[in-house]
Amino acid sequence: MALGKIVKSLRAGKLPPLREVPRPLLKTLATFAQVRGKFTRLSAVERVLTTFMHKEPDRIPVTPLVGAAGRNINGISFPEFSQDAEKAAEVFLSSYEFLGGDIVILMLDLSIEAADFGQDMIFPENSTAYPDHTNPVIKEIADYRRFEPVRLSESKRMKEFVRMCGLIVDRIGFRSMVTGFVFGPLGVLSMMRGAERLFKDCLNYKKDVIRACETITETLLEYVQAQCDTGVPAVTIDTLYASWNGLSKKLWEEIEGPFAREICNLIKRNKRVTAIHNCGHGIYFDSQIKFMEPDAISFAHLPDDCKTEQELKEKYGSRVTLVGYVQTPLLVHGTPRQVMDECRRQIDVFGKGGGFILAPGCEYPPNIPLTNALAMVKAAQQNS
Amino acid sequence: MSEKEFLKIAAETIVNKDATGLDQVFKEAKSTGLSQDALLAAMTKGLDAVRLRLRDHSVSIPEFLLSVDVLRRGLNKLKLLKSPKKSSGKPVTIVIGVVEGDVHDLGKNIVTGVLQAYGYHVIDLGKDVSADRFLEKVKESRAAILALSTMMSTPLEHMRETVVRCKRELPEVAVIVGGAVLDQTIADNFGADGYAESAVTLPEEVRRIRGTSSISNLIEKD
Repeated sequence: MALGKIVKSLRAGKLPPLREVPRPLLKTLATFAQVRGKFTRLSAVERVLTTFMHKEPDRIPVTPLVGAAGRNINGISFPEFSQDAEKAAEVFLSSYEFLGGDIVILMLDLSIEAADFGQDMIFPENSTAYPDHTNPVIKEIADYRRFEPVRLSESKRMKEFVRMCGLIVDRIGFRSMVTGFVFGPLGVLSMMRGAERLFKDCLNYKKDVIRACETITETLLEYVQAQCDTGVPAVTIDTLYASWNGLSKKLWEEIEGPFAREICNLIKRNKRVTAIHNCGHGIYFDSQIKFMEPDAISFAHLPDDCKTEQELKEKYGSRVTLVGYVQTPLLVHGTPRQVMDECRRQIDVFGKGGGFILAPGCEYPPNIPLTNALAMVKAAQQNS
Repeated sequence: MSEKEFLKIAAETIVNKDATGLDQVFKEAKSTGLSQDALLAAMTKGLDAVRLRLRDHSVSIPEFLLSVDVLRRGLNKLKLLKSPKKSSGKPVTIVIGVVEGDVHDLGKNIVTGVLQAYGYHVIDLGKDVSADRFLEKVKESRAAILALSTMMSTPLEHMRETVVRCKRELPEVAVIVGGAVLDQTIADNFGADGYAESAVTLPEEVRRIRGTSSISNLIEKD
């Protein structure tokens, strides 16, 4: 145990990296929290730790996954949220303070990395930032081999995101677990090429795509290291295309799998919790676990090899912590009562034995009121 | 080689994403005197097979996209894309696009390819399309169906507004919606006539809306 690192984090008012603590000790702490949770309310961190160790805390932990939706609390615009670390930090912190929840997932948008590789961006007033696909970085196959890794010091959006991580970690302290975020190399590439063309290139020009993933990963490793250095106790990687919405399982394992593994190994070397977010249909739990060995998987739909929720819990519930999976259409159109009913149902299905965190399947919809986010938090709090 | 065997090969070029093979088929078709309808039927049969394999996930989206590309190549050769003709009347026109506020057009592009493959005259307005533009184009082209797509929750209000305006101003036009954040209930709430979960289910949904027995706009299935 790197006692020095733990003490250093504690002195700085930050949560120490959980993997610095030996597993038997973590298990003991979780068992103790489980017992204590029967009589008293646990802190958010105790609750998350207990559930990560697959023990039942006082109640199911919850994260409403509110990103841009929280900007209305302080009247911050979409472009400010996307580009200004202070403003974005203010949004995440206000959302946390307003809604509660046990984990703060720093999901800003999926174009941060691509923007720093030179992808033109559009920052609309009323929606999330997105790449300008009329002018992609990768216009022809040869471009896959033409671009170079970007140094973090020379980047704009990634550097700003890292700064935001630091601001939030400092201000959240021991109150909650904060997780950084990185889009997988294939996702970044899709922002620089367009998904349709990239998919076809994966079949027709696999070596060129792999070469580009290698270049991007070099940058992502520096980016993830910088996030870890801010003190985030966890980092989430988005590997969307490991699903029916993307590549076949075999092709994903050939193209992105090894790079995703490299990124996750770095997170683990930093003794951070490793999480995957994938809101695709029929996601490949087995492949992603094989390559990334995550602590948690945030999902929006059942994996490709499970027909029912019960099967998912039985097959994977003891291997990873399941994070999910309240559906976006319900959050957009459902009443708070309907959302709470669905949350209770999911808690009943997935909550037994720990290893479950209630969350939306994808980012909380940015343009709707926060009422249903509150409903989710309320449902978890009432289900002790 | 019999005509039946020849058409089987034509279908297989679509299944196998074999553009060179398809070129060869067209080259030989000239000398055999095969009808365009027979070739089109064979290619559509090939895409049908791929579409069903996409439904059971034995084919991935990238593979499906390549099959659609090969079929489009065939359609171009048949000169159907620009001026589809049907002996028994005008082709059904569908105006399609991603609603205002969204630029994710992968799903829409797949759907467009599928509709074209089934012989519909598709007017693709692209992405981030306003309600005004949709309605203007539907009126101008006298389209029978308006197909709207979005992958994000933020533009749902634009989609609802487009559906409502279309049903109010052009009640004879059927509206079909699809996208990751939608389901049948939301489609019903918007007042849409149809909901397609994916490109796999779309042809059947269009058939249901049109009240016809064939999923193709050009050829009757066997």
